Amino acid sequence: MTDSQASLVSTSKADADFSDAGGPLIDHLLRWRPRLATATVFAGLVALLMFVCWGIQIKYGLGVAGINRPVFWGFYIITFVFWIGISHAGTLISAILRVTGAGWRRPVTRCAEAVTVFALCVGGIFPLIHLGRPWVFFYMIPYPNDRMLWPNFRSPLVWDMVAITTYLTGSLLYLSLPLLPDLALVRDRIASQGGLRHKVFSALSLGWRGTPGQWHGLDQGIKILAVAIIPVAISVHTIVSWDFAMTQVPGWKSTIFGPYFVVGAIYSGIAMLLIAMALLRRGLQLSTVLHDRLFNNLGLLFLAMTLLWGYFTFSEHLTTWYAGDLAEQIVHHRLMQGGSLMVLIAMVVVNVVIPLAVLPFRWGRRPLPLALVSCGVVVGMWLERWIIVVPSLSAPRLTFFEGSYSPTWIEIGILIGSAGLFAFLYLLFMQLLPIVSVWEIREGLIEDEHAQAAEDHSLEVAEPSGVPDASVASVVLATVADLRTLQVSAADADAKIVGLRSSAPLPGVTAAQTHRRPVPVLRFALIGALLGGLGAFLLASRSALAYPLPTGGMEIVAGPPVAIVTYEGTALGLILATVFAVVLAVRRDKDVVVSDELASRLATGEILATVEAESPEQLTMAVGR
Amino acid sequence: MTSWGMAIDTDRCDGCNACVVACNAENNIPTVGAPEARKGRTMHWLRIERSVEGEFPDAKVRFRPVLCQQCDHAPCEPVCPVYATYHNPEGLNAMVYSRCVGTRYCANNCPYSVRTFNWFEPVFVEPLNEQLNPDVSVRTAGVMEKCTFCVQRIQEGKQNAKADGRAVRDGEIQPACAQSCPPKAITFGDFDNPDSAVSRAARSDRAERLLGDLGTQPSVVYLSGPADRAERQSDD
Repeated sequence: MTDSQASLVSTSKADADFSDAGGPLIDHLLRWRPRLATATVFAGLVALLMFVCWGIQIKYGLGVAGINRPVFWGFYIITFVFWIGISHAGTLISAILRVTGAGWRRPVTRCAEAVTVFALCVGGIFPLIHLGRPWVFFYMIPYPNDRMLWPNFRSPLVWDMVAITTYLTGSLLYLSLPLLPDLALVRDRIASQGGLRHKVFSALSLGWRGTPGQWHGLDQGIKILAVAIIPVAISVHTIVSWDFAMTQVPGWKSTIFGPYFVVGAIYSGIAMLLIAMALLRRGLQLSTVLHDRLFNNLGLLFLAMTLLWGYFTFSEHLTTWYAGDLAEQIVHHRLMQGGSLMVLIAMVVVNVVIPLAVLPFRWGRRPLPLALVSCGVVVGMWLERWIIVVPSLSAPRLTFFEGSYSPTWIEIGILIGSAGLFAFLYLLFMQLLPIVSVWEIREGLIEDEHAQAAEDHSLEVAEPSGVPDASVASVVLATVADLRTLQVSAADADAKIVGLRSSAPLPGVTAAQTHRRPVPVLRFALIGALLGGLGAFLLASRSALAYPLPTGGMEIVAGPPVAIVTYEGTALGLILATVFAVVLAVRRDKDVVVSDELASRLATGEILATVEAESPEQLTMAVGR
Repeated sequence: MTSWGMAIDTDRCDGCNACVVACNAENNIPTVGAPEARKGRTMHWLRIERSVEGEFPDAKVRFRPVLCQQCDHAPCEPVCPVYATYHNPEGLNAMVYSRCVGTRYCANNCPYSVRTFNWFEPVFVEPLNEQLNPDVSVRTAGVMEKCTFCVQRIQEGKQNAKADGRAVRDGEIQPACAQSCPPKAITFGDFDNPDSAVSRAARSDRAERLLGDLGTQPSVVYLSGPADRAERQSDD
């Protein structure tokens, strides 16, 4: 197969032909795209607005924002919750689809995970913007210091920090690990050009060769991370909801907030993902990769989330309306009048009415209508957080302070800038790294191909690739079926396949077949989880004993906060140990090197096998020459 | 042990605001000017809530000075991520300005809305800049603050007593608000001493605690006539 035979764009099949190493999926990285670059620069300028406004706020004081007494939290917390919500798109969706083995996920995982990482990066800035003294934010970090400061693990904000750190670390690694084979793909493709870019991609791909041992490690690692990241994602937005639900504030003190926030987060996340996908599809002409079926399936998931979110919203407001608790009634009344009512109506229209009018129909689940509905939902979910934050704070229990809140241009600038920052990071990622997972798509194709009847191919023997020993030969194989043929003939000739490289995992090929023991990734993961959990448990419980300041009549070592921190620590330990094990597996096989020319053939989807025999005759027999 | 507390007799309070002014002067509380005050950014640690009971001409105005209630189970304390506010051994809801990072979480969780925030660097216009209290730190922009029960006066009183080799006498320590109240509506003292004036006031059937059903266990009791109290409870 050559490049000319396989053109991505020309195929009409739903699953495109990726035998040429992804063609357009990689090509756009190597080509100068003026429009994309312009968009990136523009987004970067918008992002600058955020930092200019923040700078002004730091210089003059938080008073330049519209927040006041009693509405102490405003745009920044709303937008923080908003971005953390958006971040639930990717990793969660990609993890759920990976765990359930949904084959149609393959083209969407990477761009979804990127949404998560960048939304978290942007969202993670907001608690800092929100601080009165952002320059001493490190007072919240548990590290031994001469100030005798220690964080209060009973505070939901500390849980928040712990959970978001875990989630950001986890999703960054969950994005990076599956990127390795594709980074290597780009590295091999530009090997002939050399230069800085090749060096960077060589370093980033950590010596990925595509050996069975590496594939095994990666496969195990991704499976473990996918399972681990789901409870982490759920815990993150639950804990964000607890920032509100742990308080005495009427309208916030609610047991429904945990699941309500998680559902809302996933809802807004899918919306942002659909917008990103629709733009990618147009911008990079990827209509065969990000195909209609993908949009249709995600559209159905989106519809399910609409219904769930609508159900939660109705329940939440129904209970406050009905129960007649005085303080909550006041909040409810404030919500049902003036500007708040307008916001409420707008939210219901864009989040429930429009999606329900469009999504149930097949035409509504095509890219353009989906993207438009998604834009509405993204805005609507931001409004939802306004509804949660502002009316409750405007109506404190003692009615002396009649609250009202309207943002200043500083807050609006920071909101707009944050959208710019997100777009900037995303566009940059799109231009520098493969936004669609090439190897996963190829893996799907190989699995399909493998299911079909094997054809006969004659094997192609490459030159012994710089190995002076005549009893070693490199063989280029076109398909997995060829590999089977080689395995049979090698066994007949008493020869061994000592090296195997492919640009996608090969079905039925394990690390053991190249005579190397696989790295026990799961064992690493479990040990990591144990250590992480134990460490977090000790951190939250023992350190409180060393710093015994009573707060709110709680025990010094309070059970639930320790449990929450231990939970996150367990997940963090598991994630870090898993990644460590995968990197170990990858680095162990980094010496399997062939010439650049052969490596670039790997990039076109072929399989490289190294056969070793005791004599040249046996070798000839093994490779069928 | 000591457990500082306060009794405020709202039947005596005539809403003169002397306590508010005294508090500002004692505790280096900045004034913010009309435009900021309109945004709800006043800094007073003590405010006088006014409510009208009954219909004209039988209307009666009631004043209620509201300050930090120094709750035993203070909702503001556990939510602070950096222990900037915590419970000290004398029952005070202590505020450590230098630890505060300014999340304003405590202020949201205070059901009495008594916490104030330094939205800007404080400004003391002439001649207020000449009369700052050297016993009290001036807070910087970005930190929370609130009533301390004049902790600097409590310390002074304890030191004087210690120097004389005796216990602190009831009524010896007076916060600025109590000291300046013309009708003597505010009493300050030790709840752990059953004979102190505040303890006697707290035992009276005229005593009630603000939003007592929240379980915050405030250290401030409000005294009012039983008849008035029943009436007001239906309003609250």
